Amino acid sequence: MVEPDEELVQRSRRGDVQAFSCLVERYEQPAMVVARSILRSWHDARDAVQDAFVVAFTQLKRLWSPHKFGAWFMRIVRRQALLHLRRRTRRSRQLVPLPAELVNEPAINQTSCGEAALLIARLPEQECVVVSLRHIKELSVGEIAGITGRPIGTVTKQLSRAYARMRQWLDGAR
Amino acid sequence: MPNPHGDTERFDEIFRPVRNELEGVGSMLPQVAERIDAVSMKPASRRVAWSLAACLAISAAGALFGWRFFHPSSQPSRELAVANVEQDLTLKVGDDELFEHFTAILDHRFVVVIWSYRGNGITATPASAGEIQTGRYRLATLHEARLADGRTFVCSLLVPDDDAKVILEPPSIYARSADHGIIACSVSPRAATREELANAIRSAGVNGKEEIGVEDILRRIREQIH
Repeated sequence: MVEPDEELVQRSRRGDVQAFSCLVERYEQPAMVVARSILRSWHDARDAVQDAFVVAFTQLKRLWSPHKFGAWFMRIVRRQALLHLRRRTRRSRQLVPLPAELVNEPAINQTSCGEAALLIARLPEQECVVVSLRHIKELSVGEIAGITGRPIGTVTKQLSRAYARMRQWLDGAR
Repeated sequence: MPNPHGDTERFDEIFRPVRNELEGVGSMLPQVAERIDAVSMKPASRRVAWSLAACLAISAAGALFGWRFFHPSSQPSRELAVANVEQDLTLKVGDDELFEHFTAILDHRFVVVIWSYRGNGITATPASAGEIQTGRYRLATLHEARLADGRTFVCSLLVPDDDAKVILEPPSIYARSADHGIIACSVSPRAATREELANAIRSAGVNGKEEIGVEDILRRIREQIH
């Protein structure tokens, strides 16, 4: 039995760190995927997601609908990733370019992983949460419904809409 | 119509590389927990700091309040009050000076002004001039005496016209100066006791042969009126 986001948020607001840890465990991987699609580096994505969790914890009292924690948190993740990207761009301008042979790192599945992460990141927040919980966390539709506090039918519809979007993007890319 | 199960399998396959890479990344829970601990300490310490600052500010305000009100040497207003006790109002025009020592209303109507002046060629209405009209008052000099410090002491009686309101239309005392013409000073009459009038005469510097008592003044007022 999964604990709904709403309850975890309410407990976190009362200072229950364990409840917030559950939220971290639940959303860290979906958030990493979104952040990686923007920053194109797991290392930078990790920093951005850590910042996002800290921001979410400090602003938890401003969240009006606790059951929408996932979508709200994904917005924070995107914002933090963009901030990191801006900082990194500024920093890279000051660096001397490395020789070409060092820049070309041996990346396995670089393109496919990046493209897949981008598919999730491009989705609207609600669909992004549902798809990432389904395919990254590998949760069942019932578990996702329990987490988000929505009926199973709604989750299924959101998944279908997300699949349709992603199919379109994939087909359009070919 | 797309098959939802087919979609699930297809996207499961698409996201497999992401899942594989994420396995190597590891959990960030310890780092997040550490940072949240640090962050959640900050508001508390900030609250403590604000509380301390507020306590200090309140204590300082209290100490200042107490010091200003209970420390005699720290009261400039008290010094001003001492000056007021002397009832002196000084009007300086160049080297000429005019001092109002005390003004009292007697018998709800008659105004007695104890005053003095000093300066080059300055004179007031002499007692010998009798009663003269000045505005809404008839002025009579009851007593005049030269003091040791160069001032001329004057006790004036001002009798208002029948329809004059003393409080609303206070009288003026004046002296003629050789350098500056007439120097006039509006006075503020108030009810006074005999003791206060006697004190005012003494504080004006009248003593010895020039001394004039309250009884003398009252007697002269009676003579003047009748």
